[in-house]
Amino acid sequence: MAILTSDYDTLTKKLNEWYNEAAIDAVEGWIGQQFFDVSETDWQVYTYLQLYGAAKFDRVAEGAQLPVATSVEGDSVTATQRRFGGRISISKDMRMFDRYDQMMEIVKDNVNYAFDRIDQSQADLLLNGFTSTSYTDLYGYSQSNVTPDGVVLFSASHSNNLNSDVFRNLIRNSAGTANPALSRDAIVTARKDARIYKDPNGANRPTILDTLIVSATNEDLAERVVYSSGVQGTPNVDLNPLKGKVSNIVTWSRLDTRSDATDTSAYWFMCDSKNVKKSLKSPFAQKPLMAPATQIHDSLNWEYPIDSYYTIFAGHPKNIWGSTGVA
Amino acid sequence: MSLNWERLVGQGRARDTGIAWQPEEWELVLAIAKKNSITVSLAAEFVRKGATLENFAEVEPPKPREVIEKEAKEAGVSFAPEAPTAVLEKEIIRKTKKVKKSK
Repeated sequence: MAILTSDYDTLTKKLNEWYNEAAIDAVEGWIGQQFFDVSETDWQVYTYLQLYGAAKFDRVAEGAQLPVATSVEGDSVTATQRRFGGRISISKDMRMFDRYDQMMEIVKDNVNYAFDRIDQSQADLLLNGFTSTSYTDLYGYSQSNVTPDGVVLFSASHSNNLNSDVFRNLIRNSAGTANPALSRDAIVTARKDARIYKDPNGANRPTILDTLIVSATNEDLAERVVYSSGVQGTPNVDLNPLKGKVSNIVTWSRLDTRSDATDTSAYWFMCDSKNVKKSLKSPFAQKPLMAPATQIHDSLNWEYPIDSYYTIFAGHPKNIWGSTGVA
Repeated sequence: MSLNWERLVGQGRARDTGIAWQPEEWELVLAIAKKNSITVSLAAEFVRKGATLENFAEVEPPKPREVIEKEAKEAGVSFAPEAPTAVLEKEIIRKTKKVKKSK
């Protein structure tokens, strides 16, 4: 029976063990962390600078000054940390009758739910990245879906702060139609488009799209297109060049349905796995954490808060490409 | 998340503070800039006034910033240099109406 204040420490220790067990599993299933920069930050207001190639490396005459790289060419955004959380309530009845199985379920379920929400909120940034300036996130608040250049996350014409050059990260097929359904042709065209990216200073800065991100609905098609030894859907004996080029297919089940219940199962994305975290930012001031109950209420429930601080925004968009798959 | 909207609007890269161009509007801005060999910021002013590729020649050209600032001063608007052009235009209209009413 864990009903006395003196039992509090023992029960808290037990709950923490369950919390940690569940958190390990939940973190493993957190797909968003593969693409979003989820590093920890101390800043409440996080300032991000998107540079378009301001680095300098030029030939210099003897005795002359080296050219200066400046941040003036970039676009900046600020993102403020928000707090999210909930409480786990361990009732006196649970403790009185040693219902530890129920306590364990409550803890584990809440941990999973916290990471579910974080993962879905990150998927939603991609799924809402095709129109408008903002959307209502799964917490009911307005979330911006534009990149620092003021253009929606997936666009055929991203701008920069240096000149009127534009670049795309909206997937098209070889006929030039934007938002094509997942197909070999569209993957090949997206990879080509990304490789020929030039920064506003005219330097070639190829983006290597080596990862395909699909919904559960598109999983089978994606694997056939990429992993078939021959060209998928054809009777010819050509080798499938994509087999070695797209090194990873990630099935992200949260892409099938957006949190506003829209069917987004046809949406698909590609990314440069080495640089995608420069494009998708979600810094945490605190990852989900369960704190000990600090007071015992009149009800004699012991309430354990689980909370987290994080924010989500899009950075330089060139390393993440998307299609709604409707065309 | 907060962007540098003032600069984006000034450069024609956003419709207004806190309002991004919709994809088709933004494509139109770029197309008008390219077709007429004008800057993106000027093309954006035209699109804000309702210009399309077809009616571009019929739309009254946007006033340069210097002209608007002069008109604002004449209308008695007190403003800081960073006041957005659209805000100045609204203030000029408001002040002018006020003067007419009081007469």
